[in-house]
Amino acid sequence: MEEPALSKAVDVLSIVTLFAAAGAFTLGVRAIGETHDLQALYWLAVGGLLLRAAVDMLRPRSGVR
Amino acid sequence: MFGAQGWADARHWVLRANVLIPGLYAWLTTVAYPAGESQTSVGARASAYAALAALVLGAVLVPDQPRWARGFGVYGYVGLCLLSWALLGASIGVERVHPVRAACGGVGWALYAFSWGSARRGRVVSEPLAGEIPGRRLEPRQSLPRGTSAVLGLGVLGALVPWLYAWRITHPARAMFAHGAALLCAVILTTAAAQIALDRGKKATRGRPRARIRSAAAPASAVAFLLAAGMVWWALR
Repeated sequence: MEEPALSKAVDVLSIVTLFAAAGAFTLGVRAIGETHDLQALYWLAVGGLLLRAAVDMLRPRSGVR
Repeated sequence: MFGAQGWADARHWVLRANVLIPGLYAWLTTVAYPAGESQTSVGARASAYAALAALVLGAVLVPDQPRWARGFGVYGYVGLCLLSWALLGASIGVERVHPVRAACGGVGWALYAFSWGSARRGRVVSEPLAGEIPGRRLEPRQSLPRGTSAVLGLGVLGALVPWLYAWRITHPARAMFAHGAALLCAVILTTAAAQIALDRGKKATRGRPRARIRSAAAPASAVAFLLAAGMVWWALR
């Protein structure tokens, strides 16, 4: 795959990951409502990590080449 | 057909409507409804109608007297709404609030806040302000990347999902906790969406696609590990 096309695919993947993070956060909020605190922590942690992955895909840290 | 004075008048009316309609919507959904119930005290009802009067007065004054308009339309209106809620007491408790109406009210208050933000920018200035530099307006050096609004809009929509879901929780203490968590999630998601929307255009800082994927490898691996652990736990349960 050529670099511009691959770059565009990574952009789309980043946006999809952002949506997945929103889904995980929603599951976390639902678990809070159902008094499943461990599940809530689990989904909020998954959401946070997905969000970090989405942002890192757009802006790589300086050490990564 | 429509002279300069006519356009100025039309802009004034647009400005008035822009601050009046969202405020009226927020007032109807969150203040008028509980204050209009039969067992409501006179004080709560009077402060609710005084809040409406302050809003209307603020909207009338906004093109010509922005400082007074802000005083009535923001401080007076919000203060009187707060007073009305305080006097309503237990009748607006979490267990008595309808989730859909409360969510609509939340959106109404957000639109009200945005409308007063735009009122400041859209103020009609008839004479040059002191200290204003004459000449052409300074243009930004770069334009926003294509699709910025779409990405930001999608991010905001995604952020609304956990926030709206929190309104479905009926247990009062849990609902409060869930609203706090959902609001935090919504703020984080909107911030990340804005960052993604803007950074899509910065080729210099983005690097090669493979480097971008490698950069996200650590959090993605942690997610994969957590999902695998979750599946094992779910299977063994």
